[in-house]
Amino acid sequence: MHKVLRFFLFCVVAASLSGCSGAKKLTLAPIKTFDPDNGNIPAPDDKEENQIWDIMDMTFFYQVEKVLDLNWSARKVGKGLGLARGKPADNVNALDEVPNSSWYTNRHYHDRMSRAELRRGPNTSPGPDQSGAWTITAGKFEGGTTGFTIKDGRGDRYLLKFDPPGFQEMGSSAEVISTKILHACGYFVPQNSVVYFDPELLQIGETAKVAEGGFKRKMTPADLEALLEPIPRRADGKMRTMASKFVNGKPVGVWNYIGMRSDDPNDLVYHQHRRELRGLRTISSWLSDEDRRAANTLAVYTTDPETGHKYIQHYLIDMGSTLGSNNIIPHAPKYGNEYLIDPRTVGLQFLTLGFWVKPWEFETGHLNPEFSSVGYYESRIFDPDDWYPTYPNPAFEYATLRDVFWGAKIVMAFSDEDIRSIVAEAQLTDPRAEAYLIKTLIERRDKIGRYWFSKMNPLDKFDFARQGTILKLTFRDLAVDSDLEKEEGVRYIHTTSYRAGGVHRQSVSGKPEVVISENGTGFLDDLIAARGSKKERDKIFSTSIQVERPGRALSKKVDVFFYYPGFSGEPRVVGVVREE
Amino acid sequence: MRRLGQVLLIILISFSHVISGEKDRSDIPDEQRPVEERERGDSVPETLGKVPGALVSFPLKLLFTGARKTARVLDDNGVVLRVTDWLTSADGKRKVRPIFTPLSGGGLAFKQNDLLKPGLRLRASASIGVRTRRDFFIGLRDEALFHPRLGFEASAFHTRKPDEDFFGIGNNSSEANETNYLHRENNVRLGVVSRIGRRSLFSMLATYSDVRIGEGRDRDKPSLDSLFTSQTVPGFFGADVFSTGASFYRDTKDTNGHPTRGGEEFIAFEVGYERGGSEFGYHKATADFSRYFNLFYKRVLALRVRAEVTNSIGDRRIPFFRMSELGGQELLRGYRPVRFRDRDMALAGAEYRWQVQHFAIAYLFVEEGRVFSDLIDEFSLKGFRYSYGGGLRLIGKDRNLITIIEWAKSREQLRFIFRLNVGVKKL
Repeated sequence: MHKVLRFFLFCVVAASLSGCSGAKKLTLAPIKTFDPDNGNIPAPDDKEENQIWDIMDMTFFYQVEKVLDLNWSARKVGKGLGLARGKPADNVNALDEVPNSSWYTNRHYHDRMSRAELRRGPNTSPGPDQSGAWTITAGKFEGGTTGFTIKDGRGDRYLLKFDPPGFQEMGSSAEVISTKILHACGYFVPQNSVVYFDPELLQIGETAKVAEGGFKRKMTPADLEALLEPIPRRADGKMRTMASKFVNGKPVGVWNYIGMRSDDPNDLVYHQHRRELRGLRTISSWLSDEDRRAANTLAVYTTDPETGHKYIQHYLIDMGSTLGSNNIIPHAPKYGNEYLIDPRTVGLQFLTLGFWVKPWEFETGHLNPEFSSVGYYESRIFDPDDWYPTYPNPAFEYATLRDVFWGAKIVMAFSDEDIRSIVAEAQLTDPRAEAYLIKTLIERRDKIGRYWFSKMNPLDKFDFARQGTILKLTFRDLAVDSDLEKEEGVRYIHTTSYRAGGVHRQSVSGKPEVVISENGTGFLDDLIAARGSKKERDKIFSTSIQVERPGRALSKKVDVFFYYPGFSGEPRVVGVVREE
Repeated sequence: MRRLGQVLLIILISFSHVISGEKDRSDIPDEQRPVEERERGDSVPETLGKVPGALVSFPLKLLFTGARKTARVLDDNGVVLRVTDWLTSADGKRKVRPIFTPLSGGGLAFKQNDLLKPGLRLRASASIGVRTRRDFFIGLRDEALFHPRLGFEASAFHTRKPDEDFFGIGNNSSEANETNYLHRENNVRLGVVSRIGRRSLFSMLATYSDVRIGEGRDRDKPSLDSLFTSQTVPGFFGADVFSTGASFYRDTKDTNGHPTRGGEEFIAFEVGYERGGSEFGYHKATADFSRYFNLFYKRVLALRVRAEVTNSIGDRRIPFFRMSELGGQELLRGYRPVRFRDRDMALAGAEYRWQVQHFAIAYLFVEEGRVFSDLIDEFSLKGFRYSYGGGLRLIGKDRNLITIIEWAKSREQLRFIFRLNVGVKKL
């Protein structure tokens, strides 16, 4: 047995050493902004996920497997001892950002979207065409809300979802607001809109069915009448619904937050190690999107209009259980604060005989919410670091500080006005409810920014700028930009050095910039002249920056690597490394 | 030392690339390289690190692959929905549930409210267990059949307990005298019930019981007649007993499952005679009070006291199976069922309950109790037996108790108890 163990350890050591030696030098190649994962692939199988199994798998089996994973456990122990960090995300570029792919597109944070774009979100139309009849083609058999599928006069198919009795506007508002926010964050989402329609438009199609006692049977006018009966009408007779347009392409099931899809050759990164899925944790915590699980995803076999390639695009769907809504009832305080079955809280409560009180135990706002159209969405006890989805999500569990910081940057990109614009799309009839929702979104956003920006160096968007004869490395202080910190008294301490280390110069500035050269005279110019090297790679330098705010400890470092060919050349940032 | 070395080595392996990556901070870390320049997925050490976990969980996953596929087939075909729909009505008036107790075995319980007419309730259960153990019950109740405040109750019950323990009568009955007998009982009950307010119920019931005692099926224990006689144990062969009684029950609990305030009060008086004989005759008074105190947010202290006094009528005797009992699932849980018998008993208990999940209530309890030949004349705090323990109660969406998992300790033994959907015989 010992021999087997030794052989196994030998293999691990050998493999790990070979893996360690593979660190690449800095490249001068352009920063990668696109992951070419849209190569032409054969039609994949439809992949179904059993929801009950997923809960069991993630809650029990995955947890056991995770602890037995030496890397996970060793990193956990090492992290506790301050010796190691969590496994970094696998698909970030040299700037620690996510390239565009079939999973994600950089949007609002990198190129600010206009208010109109934010309001529009992914929509190409305001909803189903109301100039003609809507034919009901199928009932809705999954999820808690009532609804059905229709085909409008243009031939577009929509899933209509109605708000639960007693909580009018709650689910539809949550779905539309969160969809637009997630779209602006960069994810692929369906076109969801709040629509008021005349029920007379509805016609029962030949294929429309309803579920009764586990059986499906043809939908009758009585079924439709019973379904619509509890839904209130406006004075003009119209009803409110949430219309979700079917996405282009062929749905091929769900995608998981762990592993890779075996029938997708483009799928090269373990999903739990994708930055955009790990960082989604921060965005989900903002939106109280505890239902972010495999069942609420959609893989679509789609065609690239430019190349004609057929590939899988990855969607987030079903945002009806976000903000204050838990589908048909308001969110319970438990959600977001602990898993459905949470060994951590159960164990603590068990061992302390109940004397350890969960901070959310006294919350009763969900029982009789102040605004039935909002449900239970609060910012008082919300803790960005202690937020949990309904059951374990591997990508969220693997998220490192850099991942959640990436998510926080995106969350903080939404200004108060941006939020107001998006919330207006929900068409809430009670202005007080709308104001409450906006206020809570802003408060939770600020909590996220304050917390995660204090855990990492909040400097970003590094670039070069010329001002007369001065060449500067500029950057943004995200904490100041989002009004979480004051500009006065801030000092940026930077140490610029040749990339091989050794020679360096420290300076301090009160503005988010580092002077690199003044008319060709400067520390780096002298270094280049002294070295006399012709190699382009030898013209890579680094600046390590820390932030000092009045009354605060010095922040962690962010190292910016840049290519500086001399004052007359075109300098550019080639890498960013953040200290965790 | 070698093991410690191996552990250190594993940790070193896992951190090695982190350490090596920090030697030269001018390099962009490996994981930040463009994705197409990397191998598919994890690096080799990361992948190897997963092997032990995968090896351990593989048999589990294999086992549950079958369950997964079955679950999918059941789900896709709506089998669960269909069965649930068949067994449970949408309005919750009809419901079938699995039941299990160690004493009765496993089976099913059925309830139907508003049967034939509004207010008429049917409850039925059937369970079977080892050694031909069986337990059948059916009951009907309509609390407003004759008048809005006057109704009726009827029930029939059959039980066969093939291996009941008997240790003798009295608080000092010895464990060494453990014997075994078969208890078979058919029981029919009929009476009137009157709802007083929303929370109280008064009932007057007449009960006919046919009790037969026989040789126990547990061959490892001596039979009842090897140590006891009909002289020392009244009702040695069983008896037909006709009894009448009145009871008052008041329930002020705020909820089922995990009550946080209020309580329950039960007072009963019963007179029983042997049918077709003059050997047995008794009257029995019972009082049982429990109260719940919310210490702080759903951390509850539950207190309970119970006393029973049984007296013979004239020179008649009290059959042993109608005497007061202690031990088992409800009374002095650290002792085996009916560990102590005598004419009277007293019990006091305290239970601290706290909610660990919305469906799980943990609890710790301590109980003291003893049987007396005469509670009034001989009452003394000496000789009380105690038991303590704890457990977990799982409650359903309807706030009813689903499962009890409990351990209980006494001076004689440590008991582990599992019960599923208990309390179904409550009309």
